[in-house]
Amino acid sequence: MAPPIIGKSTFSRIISYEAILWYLLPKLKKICLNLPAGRKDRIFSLINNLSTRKPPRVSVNPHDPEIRFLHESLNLILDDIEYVAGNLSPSKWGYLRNLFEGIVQSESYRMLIRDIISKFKGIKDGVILELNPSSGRGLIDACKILGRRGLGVDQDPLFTEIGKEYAYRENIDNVEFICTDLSKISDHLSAPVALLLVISPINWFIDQRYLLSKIVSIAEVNCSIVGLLPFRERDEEVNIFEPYINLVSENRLMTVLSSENQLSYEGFSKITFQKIGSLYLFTAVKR
Amino acid sequence: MPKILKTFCPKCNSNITVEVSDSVISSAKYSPTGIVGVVDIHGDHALVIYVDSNGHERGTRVYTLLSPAISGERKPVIIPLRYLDALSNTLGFRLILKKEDLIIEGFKRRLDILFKCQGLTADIELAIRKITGSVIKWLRAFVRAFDRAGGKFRFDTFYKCMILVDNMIYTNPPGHSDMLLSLLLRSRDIAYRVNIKALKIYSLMPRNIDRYYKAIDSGMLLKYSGRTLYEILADRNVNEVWEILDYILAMKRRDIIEIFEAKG
Repeated sequence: MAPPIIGKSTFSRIISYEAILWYLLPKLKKICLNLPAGRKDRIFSLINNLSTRKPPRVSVNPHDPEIRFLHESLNLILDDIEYVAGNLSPSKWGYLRNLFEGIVQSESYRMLIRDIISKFKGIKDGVILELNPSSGRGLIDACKILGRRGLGVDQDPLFTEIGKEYAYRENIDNVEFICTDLSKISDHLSAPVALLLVISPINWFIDQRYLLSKIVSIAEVNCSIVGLLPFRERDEEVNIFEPYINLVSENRLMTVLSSENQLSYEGFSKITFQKIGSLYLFTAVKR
Repeated sequence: MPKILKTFCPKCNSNITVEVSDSVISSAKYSPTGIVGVVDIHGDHALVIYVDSNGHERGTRVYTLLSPAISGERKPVIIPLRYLDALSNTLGFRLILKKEDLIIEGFKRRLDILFKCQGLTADIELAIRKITGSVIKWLRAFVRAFDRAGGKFRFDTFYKCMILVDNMIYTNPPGHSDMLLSLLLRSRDIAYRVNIKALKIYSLMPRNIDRYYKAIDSGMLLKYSGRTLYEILADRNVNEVWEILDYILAMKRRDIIEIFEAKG
């Protein structure tokens, strides 16, 4: 078994956040009755699969501001389920941007990302590329820690503006944010990619087969990749993130094994997966 | 303390908001008639608003602006010297509005060298005390702002923009400075409305960006929802104007506010 990438103390708080997703599941089940048949049925079947399992036992401090933010904002979003399910997509997040920005800005998430990035101090020369960086917090921190140039590529033009806003606010001039389709990234790269990041929560909503195919096509020899995504542990075992993801997309999550196999098949080595609750932190290097 | 006066222009059937400064009120106080006229130029006409010593409106009158007599020999609108006192780094400027065939200029003294930047709707020429790389960047942002505003602005909002650019000209402008200046140029004609749900989620964020702003917060944003930007910017110093507009753009990026054309 591969050694863990980061220590448990870094991510224990993140795991406790999942309790909110379990807690809100009955509400999601109730209000998704208002959705069109196809989407409703899909979410129903995912919730039914989850209802056969026991939620993990974790202690949650309701006074924790990060817990309060996640709980109350998810509650508000679920109350507006028809808007969320009918209007939003990875290139148009509407006011959901505030949820993603809040997660990426939270102290525990930043601590997690900083801890991950600090393991990559020895990477080869080149730029740090982040796919869908949302507010760009992770990329800015990564560029600060590693002292490299960074490029964030998002499909949402307003998230690109928010990324630029943070870079300006922090007086960082070695990080650039552009809005383009992921398939056109190579047009914007002037140097090889040393580290490819897929760590922002937005990527949870993007089709994983598409995302992995992009990772494979961008990564050149010796490029390291780091991802934080929800996968299924086994094919028949639904991930707690899935009913929520299916509010805005129709993506079926891959299993850990199938994603590992795909990376290995595409020429990646030193592949490591670490379970962080229902999320998986994975790293690999292109041979 | 300056007062905000709302009146109606019978020529274009629109509501007009003007800021009546202390000096205007004081002039009315010492005027033999007890009233003084202030001018708001918009479109092809000027609205003269008569104001009393309490800052209240005492009548209005519309005057038509004259067109230049000979094409190619445009006579510029000269900004009086006393208004240029507010500009500490700018020695003179010239704004050339292409569509309107209009030149607005103000010079503290006779100058031969001006930096020029050309845009689609306006050209700007500027004489500045000290030349740095940031001056050119600001000029570019300024002409882009005119293009974004589609040439729609008022004299006083242009004047506020000039003061703002003058104040910040030796710092590098952020990438969104053209958007910010175009908001200021159009501040009399645009308003915003708040998406309450988005604001609630934003307010719950443990580390939201409110901490970067002293002049405005989400409470004030809510208070001015539905009103023109000009109203929230009235009676503010140049740094506060910058902060407020920067905050409004930040809120727009997060879908917390939606900006719309304020109807007359």
